[in-house]
Amino acid sequence: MTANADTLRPPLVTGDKSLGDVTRDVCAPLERRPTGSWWAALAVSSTMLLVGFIAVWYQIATGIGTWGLNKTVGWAFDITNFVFWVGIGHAGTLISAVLFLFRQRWRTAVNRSAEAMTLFAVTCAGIFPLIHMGRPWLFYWMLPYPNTRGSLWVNFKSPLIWDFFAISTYFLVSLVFWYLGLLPDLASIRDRSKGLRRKIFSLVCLGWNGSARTWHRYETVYMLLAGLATPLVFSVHTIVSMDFATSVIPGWHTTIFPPYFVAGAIFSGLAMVLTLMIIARKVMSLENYVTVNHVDKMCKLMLSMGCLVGLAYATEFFMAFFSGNVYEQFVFKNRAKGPFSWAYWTMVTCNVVIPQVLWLKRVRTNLAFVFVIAIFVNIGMWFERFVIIVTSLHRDFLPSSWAGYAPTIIEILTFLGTFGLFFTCFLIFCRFVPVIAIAEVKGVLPAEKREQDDVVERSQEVAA
Amino acid sequence: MKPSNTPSSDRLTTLLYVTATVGAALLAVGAFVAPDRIWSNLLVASYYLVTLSLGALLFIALAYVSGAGWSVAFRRVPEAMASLLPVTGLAVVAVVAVRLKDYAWHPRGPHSGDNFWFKDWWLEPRWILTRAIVCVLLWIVFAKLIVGISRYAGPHSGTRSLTSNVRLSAVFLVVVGLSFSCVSIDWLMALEPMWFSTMWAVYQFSGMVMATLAAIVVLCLMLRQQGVLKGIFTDDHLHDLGKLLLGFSCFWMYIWFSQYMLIWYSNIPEETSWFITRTHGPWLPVFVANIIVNWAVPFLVLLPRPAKRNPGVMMKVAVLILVARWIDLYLVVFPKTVGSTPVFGLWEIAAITCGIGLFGLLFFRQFDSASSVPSSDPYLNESLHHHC
Amino acid sequence: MNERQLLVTFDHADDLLSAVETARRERWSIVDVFTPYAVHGLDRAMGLRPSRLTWVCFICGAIGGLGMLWFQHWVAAIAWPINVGGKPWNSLPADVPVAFEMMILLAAFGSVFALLAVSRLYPGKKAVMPSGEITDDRFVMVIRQDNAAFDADAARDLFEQAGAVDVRERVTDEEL
Repeated sequence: MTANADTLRPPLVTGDKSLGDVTRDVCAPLERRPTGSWWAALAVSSTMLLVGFIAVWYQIATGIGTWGLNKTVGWAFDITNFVFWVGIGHAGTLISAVLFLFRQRWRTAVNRSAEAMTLFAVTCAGIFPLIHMGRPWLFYWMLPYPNTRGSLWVNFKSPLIWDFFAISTYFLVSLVFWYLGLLPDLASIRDRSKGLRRKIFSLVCLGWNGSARTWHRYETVYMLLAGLATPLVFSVHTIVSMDFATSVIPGWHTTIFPPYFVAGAIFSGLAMVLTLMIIARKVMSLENYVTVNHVDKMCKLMLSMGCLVGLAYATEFFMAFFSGNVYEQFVFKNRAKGPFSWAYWTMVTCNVVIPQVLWLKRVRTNLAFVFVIAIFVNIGMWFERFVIIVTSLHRDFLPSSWAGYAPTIIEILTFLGTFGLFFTCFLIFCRFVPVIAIAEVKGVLPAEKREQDDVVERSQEVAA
Repeated sequence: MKPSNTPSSDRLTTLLYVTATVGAALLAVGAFVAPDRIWSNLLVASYYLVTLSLGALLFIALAYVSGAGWSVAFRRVPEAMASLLPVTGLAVVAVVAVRLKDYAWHPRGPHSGDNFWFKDWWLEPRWILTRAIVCVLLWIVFAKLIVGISRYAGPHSGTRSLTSNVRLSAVFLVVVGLSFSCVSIDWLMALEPMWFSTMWAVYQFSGMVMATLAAIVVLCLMLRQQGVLKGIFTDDHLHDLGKLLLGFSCFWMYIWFSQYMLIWYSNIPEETSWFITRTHGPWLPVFVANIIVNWAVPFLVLLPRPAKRNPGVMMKVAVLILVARWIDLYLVVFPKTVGSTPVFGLWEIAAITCGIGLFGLLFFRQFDSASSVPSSDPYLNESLHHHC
Repeated sequence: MNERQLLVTFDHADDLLSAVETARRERWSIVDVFTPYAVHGLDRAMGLRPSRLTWVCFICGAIGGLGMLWFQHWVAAIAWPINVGGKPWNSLPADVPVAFEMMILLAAFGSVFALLAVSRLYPGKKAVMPSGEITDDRFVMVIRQDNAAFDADAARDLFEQAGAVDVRERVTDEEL
């Protein structure tokens, strides 16, 4: 007889957990006092947040001249960081929506925190378009509303307006998707709480009662949201890539940008999910839920996305020479040998070379290695956006306009501040919201042993 | 489980023989009467068929690498398609080889200069042929290995075969990414050597996957009707294939639109030339029809759940997509090779019928040469009881 | 209106599913079933029809997408045409991204608000459920004792044999 498929698929939850165990294990970090490490981490991240806040305040009060931009290099740290954070957010939607559509049940251990990570990353991303406006207090002019200036409507032909709609839609739909998934879990916490805590959770879970009729409609809408979020995640980073691809600048105007950026976004997002979950599972004692098997699968996904990014690099490089366009050829020569070649080679090493070790199962299942590789991937992906933006801008068609670029302390502190915002939000999320989707994990628990079966088995063993 | 020679399968075989022979005869005649048109048709047909075979191998590889169990029950269908790689690969290499010298593949002449040194080198006729042969050979090797291991897995070596195939499939995915990018550029994009688009390979990939899924649907439904896959290819499998078809139709539209919109937006003449020929005059209706049949109709028809579980609807949509794929390739090749007016006549019909007949005959012969179900695959049970 | 109900509690999803099938076979009217998670196959066992929320999603999406396409056309071609990069007034390719996003936004919000409305979930709603353990690890089926012919004791025995952890009766006028 052929091998049983069950033995080929490792269990999604280890440690012989029952339904009640799942509720208890995931709610435990919320119900005990925060640990010292949580306070320490919060202290560090809120300091970073405060520093960033001061930097941004100073920049808005004084002007964009506090940044290192110049006429030639009109975009640098600001847009690099914007695309970096939006990209990181994409893994959350991938894990929630795309893996749901592909029936990958292992997603249930990581989707809640990945979706939360998306919300925080998109918030961090949204800061940059806001502050890079000359007059950020007029940001609402991006919205098409009837006004006394004509009415002067927005320019719908501009990719920057497409960005505005795309990022806002992405944030709102991700919020709704995350919240919908939370409802049953909030009800679980409500039923375990007393007093004020019970009142608060009662309010936010909207009176959820576990009714099967509601579950039926809920599952339908969850599937619809997954089906909507999938094209959404593709479209958002596509539209972000169109900020560059709709231009005429060599290195920016290339048709492969949409899927290339999406693959890169998923790549960096998975790296961030891995970074966060490897720590969280240890600190919050959730190793039985976010197992080594989960990390293995995410590594395989990350590796495949990294290979797609590498293929895109090769295609762009090939087409630059195939096209015979000398300006395009120069962009690539300049990337490899010009003033920013250190950034370019960092990018290639971190994105293409280092992730190749993930072909080995031994590496994928060694969480320390995976953690380090994930950090390298994020560094590499940051540099990818930096290289694309700055190398194409600082030396384009007219050599007399060539310029250099160096970030000012304000830009660096602003970037640091976004990390502060991201980690602060994530730490608060870990403290107050269940980090794992309780109801979804219960649905994928390996078949529980019943008490009666246990007794029967033991008596059979005795008899034999 | 070898299929019996049912009257319906005999009738089908005869029909396929007739279409293949008549088509081939017409093509032979046409080679003397209208060689340009015949060559264009042969290019479209052979490229279409080789991407069906390659797409089938890709489907199998992706299923292995992702640990998917649902498609195991009907895996013999894509395996049989992939086994045709030697024939379809040889066909497309032959078609490419025939026109290497006297086709304007490389711009020796007024365009040549220092700028185009890479293009001159890359589009050197012998180099094109070498690349074509190497890529096709690689595909054939992987097909033989992966399909062979799956077909000849003994009853007790199911897990071992699975592990080997997963490893082979992972390597194959890297190989196919590079080789398919290479050939789609060489065989199709280079028809207009002054034009280029980095999205080209992704665009061709999306079309390949759509056509492959549609072909799998058609062939599985036919085999189920014949009785061979009855009870094995279930409505749940059909549903999943329908979901994939819907998804990849949208993916095709996304890629098509990205390429079109970016070129439209920047409006750079050396890039827009490709679209100008295809959107002006008599080509415009074909251009619009291409989008309607590749995306608009499949999207609206396949959106409701019952449609994806209905064999009648799925068969019609799958056939439509197969036709749509032909139109897509027709739009790539013919405006360059045949000229400013779309043509559809005897020669096109000949090529299509010959292609269908040949592919059908070889497919059923390959399918019959192995067991119709991979009985030693560990995931078979899961696949047969698959619920979606 | 007061009604007699039978509350049957299980601790295992399989037991619940077979009990639901039993209840339907006996033509007992199931008021509702309460579970800690979405049990696969339960809606089929209960005979629930496919939800019509998919239509709400489709219609909201169509309104969002087509509406935004029309709006962009009106803004750029009718209200105040401005020459941007030499593009034609009516630029359909440039209108697609925003229309697509609005389609998704309206479809998503439409579906979720419709779900909350139909399921009567809103902030401040008091959860009406037979037991507080439902959101932890218990599955409860609530059967309405329709007529005098309903034999509560026979039903109780049937369910206890099928693995029920608890079977009790109650009289209530709560809207479940």
